[in-house]
Amino acid sequence: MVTAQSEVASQYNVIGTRPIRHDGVDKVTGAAQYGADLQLPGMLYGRVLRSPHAHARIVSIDTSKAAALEGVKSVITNADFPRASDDVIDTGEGSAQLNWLLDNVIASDKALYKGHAIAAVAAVDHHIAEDAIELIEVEYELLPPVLDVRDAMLDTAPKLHDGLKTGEMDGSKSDGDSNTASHLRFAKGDMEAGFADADVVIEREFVTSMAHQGYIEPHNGTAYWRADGTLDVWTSTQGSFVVRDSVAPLVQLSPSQVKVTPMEIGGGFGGKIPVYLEPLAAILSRNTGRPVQLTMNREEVLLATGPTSGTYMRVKMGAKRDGTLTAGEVYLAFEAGAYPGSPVGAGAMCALAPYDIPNQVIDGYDVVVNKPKTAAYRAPGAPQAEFATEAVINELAEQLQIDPLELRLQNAAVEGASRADGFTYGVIGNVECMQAAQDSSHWNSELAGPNQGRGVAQGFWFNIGFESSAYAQVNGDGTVPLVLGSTDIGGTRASIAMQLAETLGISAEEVRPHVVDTNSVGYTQVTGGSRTTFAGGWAAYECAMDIRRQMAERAAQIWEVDAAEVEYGDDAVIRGPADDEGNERSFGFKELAGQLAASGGHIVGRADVNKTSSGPAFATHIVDVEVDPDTGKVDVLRYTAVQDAGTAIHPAYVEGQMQGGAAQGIGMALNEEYYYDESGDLKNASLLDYRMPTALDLPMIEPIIVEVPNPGHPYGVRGVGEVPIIPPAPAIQAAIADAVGLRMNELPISPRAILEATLPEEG
Amino acid sequence: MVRVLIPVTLRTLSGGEAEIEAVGHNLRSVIADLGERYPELAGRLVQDGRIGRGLTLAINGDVVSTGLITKVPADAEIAIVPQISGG
Repeated sequence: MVTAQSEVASQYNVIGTRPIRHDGVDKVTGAAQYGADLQLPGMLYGRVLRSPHAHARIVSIDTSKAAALEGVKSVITNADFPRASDDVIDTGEGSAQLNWLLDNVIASDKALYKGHAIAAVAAVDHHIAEDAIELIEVEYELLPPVLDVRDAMLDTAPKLHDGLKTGEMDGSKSDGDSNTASHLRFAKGDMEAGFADADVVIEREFVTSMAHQGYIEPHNGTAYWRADGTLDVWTSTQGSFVVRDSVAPLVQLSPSQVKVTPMEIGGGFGGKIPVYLEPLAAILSRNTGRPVQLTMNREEVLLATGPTSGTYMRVKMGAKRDGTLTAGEVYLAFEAGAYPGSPVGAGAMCALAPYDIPNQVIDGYDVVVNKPKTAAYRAPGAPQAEFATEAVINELAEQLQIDPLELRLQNAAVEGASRADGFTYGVIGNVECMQAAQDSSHWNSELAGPNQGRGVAQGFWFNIGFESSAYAQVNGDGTVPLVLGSTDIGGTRASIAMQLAETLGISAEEVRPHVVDTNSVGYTQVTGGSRTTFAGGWAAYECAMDIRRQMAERAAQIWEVDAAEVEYGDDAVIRGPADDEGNERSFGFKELAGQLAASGGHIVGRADVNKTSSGPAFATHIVDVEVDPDTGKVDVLRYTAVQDAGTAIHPAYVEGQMQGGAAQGIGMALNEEYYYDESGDLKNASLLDYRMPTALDLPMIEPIIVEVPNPGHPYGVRGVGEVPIIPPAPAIQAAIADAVGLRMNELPISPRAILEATLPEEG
Repeated sequence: MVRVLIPVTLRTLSGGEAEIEAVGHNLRSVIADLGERYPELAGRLVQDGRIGRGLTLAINGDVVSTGLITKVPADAEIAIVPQISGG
């Protein structure tokens, strides 16, 4: 663990230190306000009726009995919404087609998964709302469900959507209806020659289950449709502007008529980007003239909010005897859930990204099935795709009898290498992560017992940038309130405030960051894509530079000298030319702050940035496991996560992201799965049965931060939040193979799966 | 001269070319120049005055976020990738 100041951080005063987060006291004292804490005068409470069927035509909905129940103020169905267009909106870490988005919020003609919203009620209390949804009568015509991506791709499969064709990148469409919504292909080189050059070729199939983000706070949404026709929304979201831009067209308002206030968020991991309850609350409020609040329970979260895709994948790779990778062929079929939009594109971009392989073909298929619509989940698509490719890399290393880290180093992508999708790398820390793993005490230690094994894997995520905004004012006492639009999931108030503080030359504690509503800050993209410390920090840097310029100008005004003669130093001292008597003139930051009001007024800095050079992230993970041959249980004995952070702004929060991502990846590897019966009924819709790892299941995850500063950022930042979820599954798969000789190519590698693979069939 | 890299799935619109050279100071003018030789490709890259539906462009590895007015350096490399879904 990095505890001393790193070489990169040694050039800074604030960056690289570990101040207490600004929101910490509110969080630990319970003062922080989450969505369900909100209480408004006259507020009504909503509940949602959900489909008990995975695939059914909605013949009729009779809401009359529910509407007649005393205390019920409104009952709505899809028919209460304006028709949505097929326009596509940008959701930051993805996109959404409005008519499908609305249909997922509340079903129109068909229920497409168990838990699909059918109707919603607003009543004076929760109990009456609960009773009312029991009174809604829905007649369904049951249809056969399609639950597996391979089944769904068959021509003979029942179709979820009339008129859905397979779209190609060139704009062409399939002739007939299909559950495959789109196909993409990345390619470079000559595959035939690549495999001809290989001495060893390995081809394997992989299957992964849908897995949920597992945030602890359920979804919630409160809306108040005011008499003047404007709409206020309070919600737990990763992107207040995305909620605004999603809700407005669904309820036929202009975005300027909608104000979204992001409440504190109890976890998101990508799953709190789409809207589910907010449009329902809006229409219920419009109908009643009162604020309406809806919250989900845990079962609803698991049934009806976005997991990540289940997949079927094939990987074929070739290598020369000396370890040179010659060709990689990847086939990815991703479940999108009930509506198109799986993360297969991102998975395809990442699949072979850590390696410089001259010949590659990567095909991706986005396929609808009768399961909940997938949402972004931490490096969406990459954990699945890189599970498959990394597993084959490890198997190649074994067959070639080359150390798996050496094989990776031999083929590692470096600056100037190009991916099959056409992107060329700038400065990256791929090799540095591998080398740090090689040098780690973990890699150089010995395993201690029988049935133990060690695995290693690499991960890549491209990270994103895009729009962020920051405003800051200088108080008379030298403190600086900082206004942000980024929901703080993982300590970004602190990491952004620290970059403002570094630039101004003041302490992190003297900056007071606040996350505000969409009317109170400039457009800010979602907290997702590992973009917030990168782009938000850049906005804070520009904002601070604006303040520095204004402070220097004010000092010049006070001294009656030319502003060009005044300099704002990195030590937060504003220096001017000597006075007529030769005395040096300077102001400390606080000193000048105290004179602002009387010398022309207060100073406000502002910045809006729209950045595209985000700085890709790489990670190398090492894991030791022990497999119990009697029960099939896998214990994680030791875990080391190495990652290039660019510059670690707040190392403790970087370590937290690395540890959290690894924990989620371990869950995906060993336990987490959506378990459906043949009718499409999710059988484990509770956190008792949907088994996420707890602190008792995991060893200390040892983080090693590598810092290869990103030249595309003022402080060298790369996003850190997503890449650590990628290597755990293939590293664990390799460790199990090392321990007991089983290469498990299906996730999760549960005790049941191991026993099925080891016990004779009759057992 | 700007190099536009054509992904394999769009080469039906570029006569099989994997790379096309074009000139222009921003994306709109580069695509207009390219459209004189490959009108179908230009028609896919620009639809309704915007970057074509479902596509993303990247200049020298940076994803374009300011649309067709984005400036293009003289010797830039432009990649065409599918718009990434995932939400």
